[in-house]
Amino acid sequence: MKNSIRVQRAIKNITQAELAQLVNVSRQTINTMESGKYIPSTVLALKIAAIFGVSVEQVFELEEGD
Amino acid sequence: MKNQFLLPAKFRVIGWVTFLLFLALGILTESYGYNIPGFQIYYPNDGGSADYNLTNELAFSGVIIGLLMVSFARHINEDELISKIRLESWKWAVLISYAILLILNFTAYGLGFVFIVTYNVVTLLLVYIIKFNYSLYLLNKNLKNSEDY
Repeated sequence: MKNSIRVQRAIKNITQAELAQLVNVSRQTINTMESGKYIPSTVLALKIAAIFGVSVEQVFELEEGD
Repeated sequence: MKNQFLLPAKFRVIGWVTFLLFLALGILTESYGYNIPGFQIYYPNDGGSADYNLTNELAFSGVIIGLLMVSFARHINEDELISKIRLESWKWAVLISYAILLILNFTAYGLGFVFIVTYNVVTLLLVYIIKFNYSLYLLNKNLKNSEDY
């Protein structure tokens, strides 16, 4: 699964630490997600999309092999 | 995160202290034959050499309870990533613990087998604690290498 968290963060101009605080996880979790090593739960994905004010599909998308 | 079967974070320290104290007691009683005087419920009158003192039982319980507290203490940043790391660490711990048991099955016999299997009980917890902390260490190392912009 690919994600555009980094891009969305840049648009909103917030750091990993700030996003982490907003969705109640550690900065490690955001960092690991951005590097594609961790697939978040549906709840967390929905929370992140809500923070950015976009739909989940605009932040997360399936890639080949999923 | 709800429905987490975890102890408060301070149990990590309490657990280590408990583990080390009872480990020391265990070494004293197993290697130097130290027994807490009068710490027994049953006094046999058969004059046999069986061990009715509860010092070693106490030490073994303390070691296990200490390690359990460390294993189940909440991490300060407990979230879903940490939960995943926990689960993976338990998987490793179970595999390694049973691998050791299988190897022992063919390499140790009689009382020696029973003896080592008894101690192997703690490898499950020890491997879990080592793997969990190593994964956290790698996670923090990656985090330090990446800038937050």
